[in-house]
Amino acid sequence: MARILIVDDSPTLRASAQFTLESEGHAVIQAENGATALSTLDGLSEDEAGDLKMIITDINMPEMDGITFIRKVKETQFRYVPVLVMTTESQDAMKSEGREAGAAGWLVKPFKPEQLNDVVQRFVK
Amino acid sequence: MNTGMHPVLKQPYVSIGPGEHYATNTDDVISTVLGSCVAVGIFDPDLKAGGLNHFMLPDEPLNKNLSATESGRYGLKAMELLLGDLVKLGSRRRRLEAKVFGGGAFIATEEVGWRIALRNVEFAFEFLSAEGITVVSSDVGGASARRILYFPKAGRALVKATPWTGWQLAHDEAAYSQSIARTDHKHGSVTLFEGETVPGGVA
Repeated sequence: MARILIVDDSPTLRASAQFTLESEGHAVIQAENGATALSTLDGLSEDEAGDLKMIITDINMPEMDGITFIRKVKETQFRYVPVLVMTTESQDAMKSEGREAGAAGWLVKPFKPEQLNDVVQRFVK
Repeated sequence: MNTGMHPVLKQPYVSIGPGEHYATNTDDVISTVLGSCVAVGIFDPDLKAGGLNHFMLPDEPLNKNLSATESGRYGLKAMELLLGDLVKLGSRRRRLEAKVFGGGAFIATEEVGWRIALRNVEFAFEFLSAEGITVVSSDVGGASARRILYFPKAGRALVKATPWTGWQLAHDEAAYSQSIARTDHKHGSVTLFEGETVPGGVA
């Protein structure tokens, strides 16, 4: 079983991504912005941390944006967990910033459930 | 998106069309004309900033949970873009106030026109409720088109019922509806950054 963390300030987006990923048998945890996501990661038990196979994050969020969040994750024990960005932002400059921060991929919203599952499958075996 | 000086208000305005949105903390007035499309105005009273979008969901059979449908994705995107721009302006997404406009049905359109209008309105209310954003006022449904002036710094709106002049509006909205379907391939595009991360596992 793979555990996936979804970070997005929209409850609607979190719920729909959670539904999609749970349908594929993944366990999903949610956080509403980068700051709460870091606390969530910090509070994981050893087993839960070991199961965490992927992080999916939005970019434009209050408190802490997605790019800052990715940079911070890269300073923790979770630095090898692939981070997928899921955002309406599609400019190349923004993508480069994400890549430099350490993102593994970039998915432009809106997407179909199967598009999310396809990309997740590349990282979570 | 067009900009100019409003002849009556003597204030700069930004005019948005279907699929567009604008958010600001300046004195710009945002204007749009709606037929069966819907526009949602979001105001952040702490930030004294707000914005308006203008969207339509492509036709699809009615479904209880609109956010989860194919066409709901277009509404989600419109809302996400607007809320995202407010966050960029500094919004903490607390105490947001929404106003919902549009969803009129051209009296001469066939049943599909009514269905699209209804879906657009239902989506807006469903989304805002799920996001915990209060709808402080709305002017939706009915048979007329609407001209909206939204004042983002105050969250105030002026709505004027307007005739569907010379079929132009109905034509524009139909063209937009078709263009959504055509541009669908751009959405859900994936870029993978090779060699950045090792899949699976914790250090």
